Amino acid sequence: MDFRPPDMNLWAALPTAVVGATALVTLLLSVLRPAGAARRSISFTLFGLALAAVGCLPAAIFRPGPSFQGMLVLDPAAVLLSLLLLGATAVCVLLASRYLVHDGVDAAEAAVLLTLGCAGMLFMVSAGNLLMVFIGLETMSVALYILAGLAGARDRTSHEAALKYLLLGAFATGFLVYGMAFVYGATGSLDLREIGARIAGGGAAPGFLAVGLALLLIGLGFKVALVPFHMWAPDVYEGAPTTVAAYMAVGVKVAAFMALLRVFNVAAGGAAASWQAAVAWLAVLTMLVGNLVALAQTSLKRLLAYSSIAHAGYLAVGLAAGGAAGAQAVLFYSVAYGFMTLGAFVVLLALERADDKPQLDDLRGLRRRHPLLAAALATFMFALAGIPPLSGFLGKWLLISAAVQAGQVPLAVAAVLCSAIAAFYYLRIVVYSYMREPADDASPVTLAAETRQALAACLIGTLLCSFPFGLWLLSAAGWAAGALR
Amino acid sequence: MLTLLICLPLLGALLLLRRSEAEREALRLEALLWTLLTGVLSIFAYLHVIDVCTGAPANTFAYEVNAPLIPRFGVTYHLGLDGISGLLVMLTGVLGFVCVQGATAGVKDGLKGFLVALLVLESAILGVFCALDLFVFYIFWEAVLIPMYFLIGCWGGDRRIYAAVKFFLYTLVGSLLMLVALLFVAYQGQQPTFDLTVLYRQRLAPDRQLLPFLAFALAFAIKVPLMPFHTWLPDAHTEAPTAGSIMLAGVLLKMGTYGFIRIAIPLFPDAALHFGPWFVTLAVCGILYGALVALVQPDVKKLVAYSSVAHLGFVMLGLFSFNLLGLQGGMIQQVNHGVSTGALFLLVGLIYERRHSRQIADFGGLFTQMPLYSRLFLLTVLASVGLPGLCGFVGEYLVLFGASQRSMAVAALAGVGVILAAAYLLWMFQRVFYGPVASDEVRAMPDITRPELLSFVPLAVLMVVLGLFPSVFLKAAEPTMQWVQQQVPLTAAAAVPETGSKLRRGVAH
Amino acid sequence: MTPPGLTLALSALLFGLGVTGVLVRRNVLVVYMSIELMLNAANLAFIAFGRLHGGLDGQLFVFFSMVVAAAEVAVGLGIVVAVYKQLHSVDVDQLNLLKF
Repeated sequence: MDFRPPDMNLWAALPTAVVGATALVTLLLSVLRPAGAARRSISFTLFGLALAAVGCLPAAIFRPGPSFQGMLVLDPAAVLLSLLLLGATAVCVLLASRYLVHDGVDAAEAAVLLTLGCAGMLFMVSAGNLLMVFIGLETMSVALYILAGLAGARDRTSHEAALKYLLLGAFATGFLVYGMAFVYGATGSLDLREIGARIAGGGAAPGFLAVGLALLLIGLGFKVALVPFHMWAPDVYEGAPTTVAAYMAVGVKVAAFMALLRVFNVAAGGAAASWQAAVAWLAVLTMLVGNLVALAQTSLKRLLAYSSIAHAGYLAVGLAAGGAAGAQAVLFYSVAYGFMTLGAFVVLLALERADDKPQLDDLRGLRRRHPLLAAALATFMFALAGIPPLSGFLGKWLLISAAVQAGQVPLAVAAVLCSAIAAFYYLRIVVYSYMREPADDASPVTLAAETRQALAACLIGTLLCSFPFGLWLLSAAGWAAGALR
Repeated sequence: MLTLLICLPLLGALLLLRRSEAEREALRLEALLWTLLTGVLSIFAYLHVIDVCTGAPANTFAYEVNAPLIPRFGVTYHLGLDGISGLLVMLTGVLGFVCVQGATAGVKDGLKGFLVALLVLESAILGVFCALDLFVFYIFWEAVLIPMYFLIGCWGGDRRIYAAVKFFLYTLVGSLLMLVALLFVAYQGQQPTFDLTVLYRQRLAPDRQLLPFLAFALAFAIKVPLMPFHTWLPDAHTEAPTAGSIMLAGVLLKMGTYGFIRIAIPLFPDAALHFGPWFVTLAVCGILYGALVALVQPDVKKLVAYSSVAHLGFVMLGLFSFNLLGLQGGMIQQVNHGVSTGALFLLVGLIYERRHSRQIADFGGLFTQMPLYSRLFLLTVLASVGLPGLCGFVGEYLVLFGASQRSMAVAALAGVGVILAAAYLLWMFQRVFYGPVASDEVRAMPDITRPELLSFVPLAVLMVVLGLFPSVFLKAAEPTMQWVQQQVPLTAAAAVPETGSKLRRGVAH
Repeated sequence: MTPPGLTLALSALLFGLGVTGVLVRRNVLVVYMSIELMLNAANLAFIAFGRLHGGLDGQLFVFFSMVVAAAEVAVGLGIVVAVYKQLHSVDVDQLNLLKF
């Protein structure tokens, strides 16, 4: 009998393994030696995340290709997004050590859950097989269900958010798995490369494939909050602790979009006719609803939730455009979006008071109360609005140029019109923080050390994605998109 | 060289950030130093441009830089100056200095932020005029919005938030559509390219030019602003601080007209010709409407703002008459407007600081109170209404002459605009400066001080130089202008008979 | 030996029942059971397709899916208990602090 040793290319699994091990060791340590566990587990987790980031480097250099029978593909795109996700997790761990602890949460517990979620996300971005997409998604989601409810002891809405997220998330999982079953039925394989080859070779049953892809789109659409599968997002973001909301807005969206990219753009690229129009319509709907509803929000958290829905719409434009240009746009925009949204949430956290959610009015006169924070907030808002030379513009430029290149000019026009609507509410935040006088009872804002570090990280990230520095990332994204196969 | 020019104010802004808010004088001096450097450099650059571009073949650029930026997308870092952009760069440099010297005294708090915004604004505007690549152009074009938004919104008048948001959104909507059109144009050839000089050569088929032209034209028309899109302008001008108004009137609006000359007309000549009558109509409407509204304004600053609408109507009329006279007239008129209206805003700002009112009715008899100031104001008003020998005359004359070759009726209507312009400005001058002294507050107003005078000098010099030696400036711009004019496929019937053919013979292309 | 078509039809029926259950029922536990029904419908479909193609991938997926579903239930019931302690109810209509 022919026996081939499994192609255990450990380089490809290194980052995820390190992250998973970090989570488990932190958990064990905090149980075995509870004294001083909080500080220790935070530093240990940060160290583990840094180690995992370093662990990505051999993959970037040696390019291991598909490993474990094609289960894991640590290609440049996966490395790029892994680094972003590791960074985002590190920022969230930092924030959790400050803010979640206020909510009566054990710091070690939060760190472990965030790290486990990160492991799931890393699986998703480097998945080469539908099974890996599923396992990654579930690892991430289960961790997040708990995280969303962590502040429940103090804040009833947190429990409610957790339950809502759980029910709708599990509901979406049902669609996802059923869709995977149909894709498997149509092509006879779970491996994404194999699926791509079967579709290209005409060996796929078109009816099953279309049903499968539609169900997959619904399932993943829930996770990234595409309209009309977005209803959970504002509620969950508002109810969950802000740190967790930030983690959801950035991590879940980026990881799930990478999965969408791998499944639709790469594997099912040959069957584009069956899904492209649907994705384009979802994109338009998402941008429109996200931006229009965001206009009416006064709660900053809800506003950011709708803004992140709208951004899922922009990312979907890149998905609908397809091809290497679309993939490049999605990769770049994911990174840019990650930094600017995380930054906006950090500012929100800095403004949060004991028991009320920050409103637009709380921003009044921020320029006088804390000039640096105001400047950072304005940077993030202009970046989110896509005003050059900031990162959001380069991302939008790529997305729109991908759509134009693919001949989808109406989609491009819809995208720019929606971003004009978006500018209105981002500007309003700047208006409040810069042009209105502070309320009489406004307290001065002070930043904790952790917040300052997190803010600096997001600001530097955003500036590095902006013109002219962003051109490096832009070429890197282009290169990574070219290697996506 | 151009990179240095663009980065100089930006560098200044970054260095200003390290100073504390309290050192007002040091902040001001440092900003002054940076703008002075930029101004001197821009003048030298323009002198060199005159040298290079006069009599040169079309599309000769001084200080040309051309390096690939994103090779996969055909984006290049292509900068260069010719007779048109060089003049505008010089104007920007000069006005930057004028703003810091003359219009920062009124800024009571947040001077640091104000100066930083001003310097960043100057950088971005210089970038717009230097760019020869659509991507780079677009980045600078939009980047202008942010500092201007803060200038209006943080340091403006009572309705500043409304004005700032309106300004921002209006311009943004236009430019976003331009973005799509820009990408559409860039992806037409085999190789995507954003390089303007390459795009000039690969022209779209006439029927495919219409939509992209409209998208570009909308963005530029909002910026100019052409008549139905002008409503943001009076608000922005009235609410903006003096320096903001000077920059806005002086150079920001020129970005729109410059866009027409540099991009919209030469890239889509067929479409431009097709829609030409519409633009001429709108331009004439703008001239008359602006003038009539200015006539009844009780607020001096608003009056100047509406006069801008009228003046830019002239520029547009010149451009869309599609003959060399009109184009040249439009080109020089936009610079004239930048100088004279910039100066008017500066002067209005000075009396606003003293009296805290801009209502014409609150003044009167200033001539006896502030003799020097009044004479300078008179000089500016005369330049603005187009007294021969001062800057406004050449432009208006050329535009009218050019327009008359296309259509006598249009020229006649525009001529009425010239008369109205004289009427509202001189009438305003009469009410503010003559007659009995209106109140004790006016009596207490000191005359123009020496630093303020210093800020006015460069503008006065420009007014006289542009008025006395227009041919120097026109000659430098001529190669490009001639080339633009040749791009437009005028039919025999519409073409200008003798001048056009004479000019055409003279050019090797 | 059941033909795969029949198995698929059964799985579609189960999936439909599950979706209807989630949308119609108000009790959190019943909603959760309906979701489990959807997952098991998917498992059934996997097995049917696995037979059709003759590979092991389908069956393999089912094992993972079962494990993951169990993990999800463990966490999910924990959250339900936590909510019940606060609200003394497991009716989704009682969850009204966060409005859609």
